[in-house]
Amino acid sequence: MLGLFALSVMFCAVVATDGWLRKLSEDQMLEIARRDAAMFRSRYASLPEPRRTDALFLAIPAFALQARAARGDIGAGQSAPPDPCGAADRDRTVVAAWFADPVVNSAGFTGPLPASDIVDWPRLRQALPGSRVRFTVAAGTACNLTKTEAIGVVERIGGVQLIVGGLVDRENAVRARVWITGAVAAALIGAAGGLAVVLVTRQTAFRVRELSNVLARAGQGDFEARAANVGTHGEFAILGVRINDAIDRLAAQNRGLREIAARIAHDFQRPLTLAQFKLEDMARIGPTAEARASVEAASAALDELSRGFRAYLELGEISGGMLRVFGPVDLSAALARAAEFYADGPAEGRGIRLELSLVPSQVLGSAALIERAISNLISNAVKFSPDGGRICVDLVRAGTTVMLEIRDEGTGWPADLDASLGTFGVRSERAEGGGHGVGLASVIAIMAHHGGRFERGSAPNGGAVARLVWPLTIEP
Amino acid sequence: MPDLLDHPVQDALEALRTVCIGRHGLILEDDPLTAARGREGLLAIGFSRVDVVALGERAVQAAGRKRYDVLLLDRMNPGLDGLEALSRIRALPDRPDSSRRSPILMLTALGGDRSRVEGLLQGADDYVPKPVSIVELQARVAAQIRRTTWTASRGAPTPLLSNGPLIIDTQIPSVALGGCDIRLPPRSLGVLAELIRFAGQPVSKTMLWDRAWSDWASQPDEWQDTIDVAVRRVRRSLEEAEIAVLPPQLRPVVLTIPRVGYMARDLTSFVV
Repeated sequence: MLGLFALSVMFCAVVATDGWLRKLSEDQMLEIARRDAAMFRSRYASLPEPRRTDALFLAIPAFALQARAARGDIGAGQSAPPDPCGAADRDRTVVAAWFADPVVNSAGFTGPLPASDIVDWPRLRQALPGSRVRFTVAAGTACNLTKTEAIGVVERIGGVQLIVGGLVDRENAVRARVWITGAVAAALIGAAGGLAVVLVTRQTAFRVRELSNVLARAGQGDFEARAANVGTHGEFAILGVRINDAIDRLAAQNRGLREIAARIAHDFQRPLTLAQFKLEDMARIGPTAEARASVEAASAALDELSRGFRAYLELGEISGGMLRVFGPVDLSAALARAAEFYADGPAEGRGIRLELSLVPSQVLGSAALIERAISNLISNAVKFSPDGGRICVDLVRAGTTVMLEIRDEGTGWPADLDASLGTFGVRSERAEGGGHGVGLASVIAIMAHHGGRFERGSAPNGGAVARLVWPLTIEP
Repeated sequence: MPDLLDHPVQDALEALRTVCIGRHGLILEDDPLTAARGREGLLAIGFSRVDVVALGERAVQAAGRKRYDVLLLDRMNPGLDGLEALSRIRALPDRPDSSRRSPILMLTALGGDRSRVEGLLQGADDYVPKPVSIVELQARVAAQIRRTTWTASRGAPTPLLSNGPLIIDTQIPSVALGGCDIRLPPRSLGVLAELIRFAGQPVSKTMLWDRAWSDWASQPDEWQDTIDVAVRRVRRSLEEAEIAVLPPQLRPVVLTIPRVGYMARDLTSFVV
């Protein structure tokens, strides 16, 4: 941006300087032309015709040579042809003289240049005496390479009309130097600007990456990382400080949550443990087999309570973004394991088939949590499948995501699920697949923790479809 | 041991006593209830002395003065926590009167999340899930003591496990009972191997899960049912060979121990 601005300023300066030099050059030339025209008038106007015309037509071709000789460019009386491109020649040149009345002699013309070299000759012929004219001299005469602009005044002396003037770009060399200097400066500024842009872009990209990494880690529950190396001033430094402050606060809240969770776990554990111990003793020394069986049942219920309690604690931990060890997790292997587990255990004897179609995929995450989410959904599918039913487990990659789809042939999701989904305790028979009423809430929290999402739908046969979508963080 | 073979379930505790008799243990636990429970559990399987400390520093001091046969360290403690105490004990001078090389079990409430348990186990030999079940504690402690005894007497563990006529090669892997080859799926084979490794001793379901489903990072809700199914499969596969090879009083080889898990009969005294 800065480079572009500098280039624009440079260009404007060059154009303004060029314009100023050009104006200066024209003014000087017009001044000379007026003086020369006055000289012609005073010298020839008083002569009687036809002597006046003859004298003018004789004088004009020599005028340029005389002018040059007067300045000492060539020796007086030398008959060397004028060098049209020479600086001296452009100094002062009587360009043309002709009969004002074309009826008298339309061919009557004289001057150091042939009339055919004057590009605008037909227009110039019509110019009124006393007016100022601009015209162009063709390439090859005034200069070998380029057309040249000229300026002059029109003078009428008797029946002869004159244009007295000269080429205006007498400062061409200076102007060229201005342009070259401008171009070189512009090139230098451009290069410096380009370099600056590259450096700034790279630094910006680096800082954005740095901030993005810190935020990504915080999003995954890792509050250890802080934004550093984003400079000491400027917007990035301010942004870095803000992000660090926010992560500090999150880390403090997370610590608080963890301490509370640990405290709750510790405090509730004790009475639970005590009850469990007493039941264990009674199961061992109970007076009758019936009493021992009752105690066993109470113990199992208490065990279930303990597990439910732990499940809620864990859901709180996941929802609170508590730090987990994140690493590469092989989704296809985890699914194969889970399918084998449910096919061997809960689905055994009910004739339920699990059909897998898995594309090898890895994501970054907590192996334990991902297993938990997968197990939860497959467990649900098995639980709600009819005997002899089929469960399809498909793992596919779609663009930058990995999608797991589990379809069963059961009765589908309950209609009242939406109201309770996503809340802490999902009270729905289907949602309680995990066994503690936290099954689906846990799946949703786990997916959010991994930057993914849970979706549900219905299969054409009315069964439930559960989808887990992860961002593909590890390229195959 | 004819009594054990005749009444295996009732005498499961007795089997543990043969391994743990006269042993010394140390428990680091700040909760007096759990500490008393652990102490009681160890004394019940034959330990002659169980010291209990509530502070990590005390545990390190005690471990530096005496070679305990087993140490139980609670993870969360006031002062020095269990993990720090563990690393200090493992850094003690290697003397006959220090517990540097003794088996150490961590007491932890993290049973469901193996990745976290594994993080905890850096330097520890095993863990006991909380709330502490007395039979779980006894089974795990006895297993560690037996493992230590084997390592001392036989050196490095081999892939070949034998229990009388029942032989498992965990490397191939293959199972044979009295010359009959038994076909088993990998998980069931893992379960049988763990039972044979500690033949004559009850093995808890969590121990079986930890060994045969070690590739799982978590514990699904139905884990116990799946272990039961795997054991049923082991029994079915062994049944025919058992009838051909073993006398009725030694059948079935794999017994159910209520509230704990399973146990393989000790067949070492049986000759085909």
